[in-house]
Amino acid sequence: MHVLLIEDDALVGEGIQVGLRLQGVTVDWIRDGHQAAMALPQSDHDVVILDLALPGRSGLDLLRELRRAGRTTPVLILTAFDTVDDRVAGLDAGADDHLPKPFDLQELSARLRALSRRRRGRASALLRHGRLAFDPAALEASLDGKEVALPRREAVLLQLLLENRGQVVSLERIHDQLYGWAEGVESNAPAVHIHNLRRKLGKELIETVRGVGYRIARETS
Amino acid sequence: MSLRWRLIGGIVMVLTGLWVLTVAWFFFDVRAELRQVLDARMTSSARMVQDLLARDELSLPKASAVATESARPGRLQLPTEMICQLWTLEGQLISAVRDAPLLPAVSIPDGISNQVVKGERWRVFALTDPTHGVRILTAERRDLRRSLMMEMALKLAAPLSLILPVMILLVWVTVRRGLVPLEQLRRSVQARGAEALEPLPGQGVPPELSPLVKALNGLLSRLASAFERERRFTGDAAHELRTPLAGIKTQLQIGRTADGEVRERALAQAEAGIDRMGRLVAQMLMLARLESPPSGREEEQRAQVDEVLAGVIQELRPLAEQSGIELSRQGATLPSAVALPPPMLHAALRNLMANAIRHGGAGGRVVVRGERLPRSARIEILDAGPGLPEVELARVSARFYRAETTEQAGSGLGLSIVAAIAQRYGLGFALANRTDGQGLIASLELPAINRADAGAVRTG
Repeated sequence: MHVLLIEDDALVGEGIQVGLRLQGVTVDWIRDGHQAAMALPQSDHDVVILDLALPGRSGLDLLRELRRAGRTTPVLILTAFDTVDDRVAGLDAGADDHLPKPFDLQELSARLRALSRRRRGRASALLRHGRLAFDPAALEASLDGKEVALPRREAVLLQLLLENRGQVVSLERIHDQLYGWAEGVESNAPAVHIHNLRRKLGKELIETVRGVGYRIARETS
Repeated sequence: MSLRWRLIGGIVMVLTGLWVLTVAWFFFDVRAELRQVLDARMTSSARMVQDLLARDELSLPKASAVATESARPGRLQLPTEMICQLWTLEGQLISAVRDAPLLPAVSIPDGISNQVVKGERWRVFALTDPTHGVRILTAERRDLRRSLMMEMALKLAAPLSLILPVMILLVWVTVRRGLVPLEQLRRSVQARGAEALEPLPGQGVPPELSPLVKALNGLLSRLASAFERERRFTGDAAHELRTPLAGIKTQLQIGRTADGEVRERALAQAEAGIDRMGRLVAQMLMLARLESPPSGREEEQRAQVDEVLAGVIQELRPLAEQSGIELSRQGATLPSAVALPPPMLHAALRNLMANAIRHGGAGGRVVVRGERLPRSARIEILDAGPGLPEVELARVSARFYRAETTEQAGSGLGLSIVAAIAQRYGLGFALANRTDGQGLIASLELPAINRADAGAVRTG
């Protein structure tokens, strides 16, 4: 999962970034309201975590602008104000979920997964494809019921391909998902992960689309 | 004591007193009139007898009967059983009526007098007729007279006694009605809940209650702003505390699931977060203390400016080094003493200096300048940071306000505390952009206690 975090506090922001990364979520972190206003329209993250109390720009304003511009990215707002009125205001401004501070890391990531699922129109948590079953919460895959061990990056890549099955996932997008904006990584690193996935799950699973990216074909019934 | 009862009681007492006086006067007046009437009747009866005697129309034995008869008819209906007796000048009874006691004819003087005969009290009129050698006496028993007079007087006074209860009732009703606006005011104040602090309506209030209503409204508005301040403070504080709490919790959760370097860093971050919260809580408490009314116990109110300033600079050197800021002191030493507790002066200077260090921009300089003025000491703290836009300068000492570009974690309360200290102890506090370059200049003006101190020159 690829998440955009808009949070000005260093302690909280770093906590979220590190904590989510441990669970296989890639987090891009913006600390400033103005930068967020510029980055939001172009983001193609799975979920946006937005702290409402930003210096300079009101979080709710950013949210409203995002919705006005027609972006449908799910947004989870983090805030210290959690009266009923505040929550209603946030939800009505276009947020999809709300977490008061302080929050539990596990709960945060569970909610992020739920929002991401919904976006793809999936109700159930498990991703199934033929003999393959994938649990995004645990980042575990199993083939015919038997668990297949996957390092984190491979699991994230598999999840990305499964969630977009039937469509080509571009190399760029893979790169963003796996590494976010911050890290500079060699461009063939995804290919290594793909190779490993094929080895463990079967060659037919993932198709290469030359020059563009990779795809998991839709299941044929 | 109830206002209504004070009014009613006072008015009723006055009116009752007047009424009693009136009735008493009336009573005595009526009595006196009656007495005159009765006396006049006695007198005229006696003279009538004398007259009849003079005209020879009367036989002596019958004389007293005639006189008594004459006393009966009349519209006044005054039954006093007047008697008449004729005596010779030597004291021999000539004529008398029924079984009336015999009056001491010789010793009674002429005219009206009061006599006691056989234990009874009589009022007697004596007329001496030397021509015929007789004394004519008419008399009435005084107790009969008295009861007659009392009866008459009471009859006349009866209607007056009705007036008293009616008067009291009217007074009571009138006072009640008169005090209705007060009662309305009481009810409208009482009906308000604890939260209702809107002003009372000023319309339709009698002029006497108007100052009271104004004073009440003043009190209500002061209460309302105090509550509002407190509410805002609690709201802001809750928010400001929750963010570091969230950070600490998240870091601790990471610490539990990770290991190695990640874990170490997470735990260190959590600890730093706790420290930060501790500072924030201390500042919030200080701010609360500054904004509440001064307690009876006043701490020591004298601070040596130079001493405190030196202490603050020393305390903040590590922070300055950490932030890559060069901290220097310029200007004369300040010998003055100022009238505020040393911890307060320390807090104010510390917050200003810490602010300058945090926002001064790395590699910059923070200069602390002291200046002696005729009646005060001025301390200026200059930084070489980005400064602040004019519009933010005014807002920046609002609580929890953080300027748009915050690199380091300030609590947002520092400048509020300085502003609160300045207000509480009458210091001059100003924040402005430097005119001689980039950055902010914060100045604190401290009125000296001792004028002599302020102007003194110290060597060294």
